[in-house]
Amino acid sequence: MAFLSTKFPSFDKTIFISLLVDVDQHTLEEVKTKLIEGNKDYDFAFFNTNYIISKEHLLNGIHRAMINYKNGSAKSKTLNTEIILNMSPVSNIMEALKRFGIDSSKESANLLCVKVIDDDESLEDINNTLITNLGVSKDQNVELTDDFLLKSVDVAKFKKLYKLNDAKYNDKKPLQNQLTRLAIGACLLRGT
Amino acid sequence: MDVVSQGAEAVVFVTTSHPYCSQPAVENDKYIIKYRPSKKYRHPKIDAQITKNRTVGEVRFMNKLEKLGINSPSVISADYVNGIIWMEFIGDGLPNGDISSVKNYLWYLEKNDDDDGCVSDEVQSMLVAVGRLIGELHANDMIHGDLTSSNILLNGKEPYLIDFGLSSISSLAEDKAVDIYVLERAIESTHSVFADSYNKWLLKGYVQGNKKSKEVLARLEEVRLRGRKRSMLG
Ligand SMILES: Nc1ncnc2c1ncn2[C@@H]1O[C@H](COP(=O)(O)OP(=O)(O)OP(=O)(O)O)[C@@H](O)[C@H]1O
Repeated sequence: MAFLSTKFPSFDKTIFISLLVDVDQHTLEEVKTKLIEGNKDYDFAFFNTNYIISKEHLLNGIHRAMINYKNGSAKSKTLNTEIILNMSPVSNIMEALKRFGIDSSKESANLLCVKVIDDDESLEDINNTLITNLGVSKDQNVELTDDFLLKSVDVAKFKKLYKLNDAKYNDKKPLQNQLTRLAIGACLLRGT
Repeated sequence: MDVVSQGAEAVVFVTTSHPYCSQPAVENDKYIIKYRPSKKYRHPKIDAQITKNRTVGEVRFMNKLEKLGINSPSVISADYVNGIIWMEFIGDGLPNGDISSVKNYLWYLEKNDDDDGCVSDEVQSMLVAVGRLIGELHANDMIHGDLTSSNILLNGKEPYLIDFGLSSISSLAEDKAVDIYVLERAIESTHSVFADSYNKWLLKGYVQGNKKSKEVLARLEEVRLRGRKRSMLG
């Protein structure tokens, strides 16, 4: 069983993160359909992994979405969409969904599933149900790591999206760390 | 969570708890929370707008510095509605436990070292590095707006700028000259015995950091003259 869970000090909720690799196009299309239908079993923020540079980058997006919900300053109808929006450097929700949401343009793609849950829900149950509903194999459920994310990102495209081509990079520091800092900055300044 | 500073505009806390990540890509395992509380004497709507604008402004400036690779704390998170910025903690602390600002460091030397120690090569190269940092800032048309020796922190020998509540963007030599002048005056009042050497070293570094310093330095002469006239008039 491979999922991550974490809590933020100023929120009572638990963050559930589960990675499914090489999910086939048919399944991805189906998840999209269920989402449009508002099927409760698919109440997750679903991501592709092309533009998430690190776990910290992802967690910042989730944290920011939760702050916006608490403050009443959220721009989306659901927390899941708000999380996706908060990964994006641009304010357009459709644009954010296109970049960060389910990528069914290829034969297969990674699917990162995020859910903010109440403390008393069983994480194992949620993960099992997710895998069963999607009809993927348990082997496709692998632990999310920073190495995995770095490998899934096309750095040139990433820099273009976050407008980081003119940034000055320090050869002595890991690029992933620098991109994490810069992307988080861009996300925090979205729409200001 | 401890209070480090209670200024006119913001309360600054230090904490070991990251708001969302257990292994963040920053060097220190402590974090700073800068909080601008609402001001009861302002109209609530205007107050909310001012708090938001200042917080956004500071984050924007810090992000720009991050992009340029100019030493300053990395932003970790922000809550504009409540006027909160989470940022990286800078500094390794002084032997007496104080925050390692340039001010505290120079004061520490004054108290615990002899005169030679206060103007050692090490102090010189530190202040040249500070000057260079300010030069780089100005070379990018960024104005700090409140340069003092307590708004420059030392991480080892590396100086970092903090506190961008009054910062702005400007290409005017006048604005850059005033920025330097404010620091010169701060050095004169907080480190009066060695101020001449300190200010000389700062300018030495400034010229290295800002390739177009000539006009700024000429302007600085004028700004100093204005300052002197004003203080003569009382
Ligand atoms: N990133 C940081 N790392 C370490 N210490 C910091 C950091 N940011 C702020 N501090 C500490 O907190 C103090 C106040 O921070 P800052 O100057 O940003 O707030 P301020 O309210 O604008 O202060 P003031 O009104 O006194 O100018 C600093 O002088 C420093 O001692």
